Amino acid sequence: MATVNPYLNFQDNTEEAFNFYKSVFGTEFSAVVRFKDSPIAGNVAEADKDKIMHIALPIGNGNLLMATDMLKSMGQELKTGNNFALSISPETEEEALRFFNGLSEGGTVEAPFKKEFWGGYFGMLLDKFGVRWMINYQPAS
Amino acid sequence: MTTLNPYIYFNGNCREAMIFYQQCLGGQLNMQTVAGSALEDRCPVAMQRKIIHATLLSGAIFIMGSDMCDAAGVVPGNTIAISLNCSSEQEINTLYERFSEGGKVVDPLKTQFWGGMFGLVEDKFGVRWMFNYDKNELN
Repeated sequence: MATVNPYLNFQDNTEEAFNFYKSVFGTEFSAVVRFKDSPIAGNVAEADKDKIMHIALPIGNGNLLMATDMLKSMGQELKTGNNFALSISPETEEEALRFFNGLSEGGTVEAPFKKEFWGGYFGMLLDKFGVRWMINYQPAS
Repeated sequence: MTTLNPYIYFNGNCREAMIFYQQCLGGQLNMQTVAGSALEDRCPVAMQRKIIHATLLSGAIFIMGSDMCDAAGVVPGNTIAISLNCSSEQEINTLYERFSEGGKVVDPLKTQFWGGMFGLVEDKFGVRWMFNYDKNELN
């Protein structure tokens, strides 16, 4: 059966973004591949060899947040949209608040983390790398 | 257990898109309209039949969608793709074909230098999907 994970593109700052996500989620990278270490190293501009071809950060039990650097030298251009959010459902209220506060640092809070009409806690933010996050915590009833 | 799931915004065609995704992935689709929700009184008549929250659950796949986008409307970008990790060659071929219908192939599905099969499609709703299958890797 297929599984689903979000894959992010950044322009040149994947590593900075993922070090930030690592600090928030408190997990370790399960993969870090730079262009210079890949079979296509010969096709990549010198200045881009240290850029990230693939990086993966486990979140929770089984999900992977993954990303790559788009390379201008390869004609790849980042186009920021607004049709996506990454929704995180933490185990505890304390964890939810920690993720929300952590991801908000330097970003824009769009909906403060608080109890909503449906009985759960919810907050939404645009982080400093342009990624939109929703934090959902549903207390056991 | 903390989970991470994609949430997709649509420009009024959430219902159509989520039905398409259900046709592609199977599973159980739930859609709640603005009418009948707690936001009913705060939304204009034209929004009442739109989707405030939709969920599609198919095995380990859980995706959500909504028409409650920014006031300026939805602008699709290329900063996020949903990556589908497939468990057989047949499954990756089937899913790739279904999602490509009416959409745009960005990277044709083929065996890549790392040994796995990979393809990237932008579907007819502007959502990017990645298809991965590596027969040498345990799924």
